[in-house]
Amino acid sequence: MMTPYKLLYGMSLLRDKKRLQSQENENSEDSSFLRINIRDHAILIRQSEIEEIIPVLHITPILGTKPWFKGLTSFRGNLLPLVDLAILLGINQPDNTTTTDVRILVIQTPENLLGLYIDKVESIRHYWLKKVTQPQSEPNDVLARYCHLYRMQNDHSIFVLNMQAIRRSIELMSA
Amino acid sequence: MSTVYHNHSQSKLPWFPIILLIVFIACMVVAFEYASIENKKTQNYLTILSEQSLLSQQISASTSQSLLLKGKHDVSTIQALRDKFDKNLTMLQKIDAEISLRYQVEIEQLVQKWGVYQQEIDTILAGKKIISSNQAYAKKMSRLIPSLHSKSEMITQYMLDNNANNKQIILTSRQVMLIQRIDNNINRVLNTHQNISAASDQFVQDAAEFSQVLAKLLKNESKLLNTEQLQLVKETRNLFKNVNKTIAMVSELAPTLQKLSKATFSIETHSKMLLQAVRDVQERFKLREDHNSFYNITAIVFGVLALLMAMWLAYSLFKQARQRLRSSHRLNDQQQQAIEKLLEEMSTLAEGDLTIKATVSENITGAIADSVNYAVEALRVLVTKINNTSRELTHNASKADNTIQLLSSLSQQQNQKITDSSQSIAVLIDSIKNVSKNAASSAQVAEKSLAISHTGASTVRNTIAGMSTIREQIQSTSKRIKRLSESSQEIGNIVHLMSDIAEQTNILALNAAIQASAAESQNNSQNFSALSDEVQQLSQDASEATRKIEVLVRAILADTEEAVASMEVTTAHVVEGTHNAEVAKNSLNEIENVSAQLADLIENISSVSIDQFDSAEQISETINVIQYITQQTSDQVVETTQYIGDLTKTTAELRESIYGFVLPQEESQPE
Repeated sequence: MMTPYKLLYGMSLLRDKKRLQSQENENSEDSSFLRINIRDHAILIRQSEIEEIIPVLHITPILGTKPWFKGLTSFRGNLLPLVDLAILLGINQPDNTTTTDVRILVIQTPENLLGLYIDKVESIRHYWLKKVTQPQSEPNDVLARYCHLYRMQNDHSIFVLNMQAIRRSIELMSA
Repeated sequence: MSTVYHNHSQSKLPWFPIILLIVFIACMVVAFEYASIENKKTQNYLTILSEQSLLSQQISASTSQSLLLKGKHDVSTIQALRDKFDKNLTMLQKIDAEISLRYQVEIEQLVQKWGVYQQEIDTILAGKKIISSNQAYAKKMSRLIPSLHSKSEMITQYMLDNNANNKQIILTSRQVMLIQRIDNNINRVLNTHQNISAASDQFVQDAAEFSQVLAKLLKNESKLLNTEQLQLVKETRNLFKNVNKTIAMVSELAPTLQKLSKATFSIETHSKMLLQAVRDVQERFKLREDHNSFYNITAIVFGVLALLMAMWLAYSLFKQARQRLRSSHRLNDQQQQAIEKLLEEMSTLAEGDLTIKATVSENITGAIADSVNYAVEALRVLVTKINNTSRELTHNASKADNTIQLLSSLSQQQNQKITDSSQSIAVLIDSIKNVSKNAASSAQVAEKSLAISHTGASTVRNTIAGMSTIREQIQSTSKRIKRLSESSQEIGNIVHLMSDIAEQTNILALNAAIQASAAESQNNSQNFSALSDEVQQLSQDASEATRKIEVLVRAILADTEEAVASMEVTTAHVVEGTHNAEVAKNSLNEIENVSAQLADLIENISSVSIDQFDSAEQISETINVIQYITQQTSDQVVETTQYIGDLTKTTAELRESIYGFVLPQEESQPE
């Protein structure tokens, strides 16, 4: 019977093999992604762009702010502003998620930390993705504005969140 | 109308001539009445006096004739006349005290003369018996004398025939003459002639002479007479004896008759005086009658005055009447115009127009117009009511027609059904026969049922015992499942705790992966990152497994709770079933009893079924009768349908009759 360590080692070797295969393609990207769910959408976020994942304890809403501004919460003795990523991405589907699955992704902005309020963190995986050249997007297509479309190895398409665009937009809207 | 009454109230009556007329008429009436009373009194006196004068003459005549043999009046008549005269005289004195006092002298003279007259009458009345005897004698003599006279003549004739000597013939002839003279003298006496005494003496002498001649004839009987003649003479002698006795009696009455004769003559004499006295009084009263005519003249004068007043009154009334006539003409013209207007307004009423409304004015036609309006209103209501009623009647008749047609069809169906029922009952009779047969076999079945119910009762008792055991087992199982539920609850809590741990592990693994990735990017420790990934993956899988466990435990817990609830319900059902089984046991006991009764009842049913068979046959006959009646009813319904049709026609005629009446729009509803 195989020991757990051997099993984990074998899986690591398998992942390296896949990475080598993907490097043969110029437009391919090999990285660890957080696979998150916002309503019915599955979106990938590069792991390197996330500082920390925290559960939701208590959120204080702030009146008179933008709709996507969820409120403030405490994070390591500091106030952490929260952005509702579903509203920001223009996903207007009803919220059916359970509160136990809701997570806050802490990211680093040039000035301070920022929390992204998402419905669920599904997993962290390595993906070999191939970027898809998108046609000129519509001005009202908010999701296309903040995401890039990639194709996975099984030819399924998936959005990858453009964190730079998120930070820039929040800075502009906050100003 | 008020104008007319006003004009009437303006006409004044001529009261003065009316009052005078009434006064004169009253005076005339009083005068006539007084004159009438006085004349009546005078007439009463004159009537009495006339009667008195007549009575005085009647009394005189009666007294004269009463003494005659052939007089019509007797003494009782004289007495009645005297009493009547006396009564009238008393009445004459007492009929009116004032008048009697005024004519007292004349009346007293009359009374005095009546007193003398009355004495003579009393004398006549005192000789009442003598007069009666006198008349009896006269009758007797009138019977005897003719016989005696004929016998004497026969004797004389015999003498002449036998050539008797002259002397004898003279004697016999004298006998005849004597008899004639005796008869004459007796008649004088009996008729109370004045020379009664001379006549009496004469017939006494003649009788004596006649008696002597007879004696002589009898002495010479042997010489002159044969036996037959002798017998004749003897009969004459016997007859004369009777006459002689009567003559003796009459001669005795002669003095009395002489007195009566004198009284009669005195009455005749005084009757004239009495008559004169009565006439004197009559003359005085006739003068009074003339005096009474003064009152009549006075009454006539008042009558003439009343007539004049009446003419004056008539003239006044005529003048007023002429004035009233003129005003009446004017009023009539107004009324004529009002009536023409009213008639013009009512002209369409005859054509049935009930929408008219006559003008109500102050004229005489105002009240009529008001009445006409009221009558037209009433007629309008009536016609409307008749219209509505006829409409309802038509509607109802139509409904009744439909109903009766339906009834007719139903009756026919009923007839058909009854026919079918009759056939069914025939079948039923056969069925009852079978039932009667089956009932006997049912009794056997009931006995079997009784045995089976015994067995069922014992089975139920066993079932109850088994149910009790099941109940205890289920209660035990329920307790165990409850404990299992509690254990599952604890497992759930533990799983929840594991879930939290897994979740935190997951987050920790994620963060570790992130930190490892960051460290990798700095230190290039790729293996740690890979391992961290796998740890995270395992944690992820553990979390998923834990979550599935939790789901499963929750499902188990829910199923366990449902099982507990179900067991509790089952336990309740078992308890209820036990109770029902207990009830069933009791019911089976009852069934046992009832089955026994049922066996008896089935036997009764068997006997009753035979009776039902008879009853069914009777019902069959009754159904046949009903079928016949229904057929009759169906025929009657057909006739009734025809009658309803006639009713509908009548209603249409009724509506047609009031069709001519025109009603206002709001009252005439559309048909």
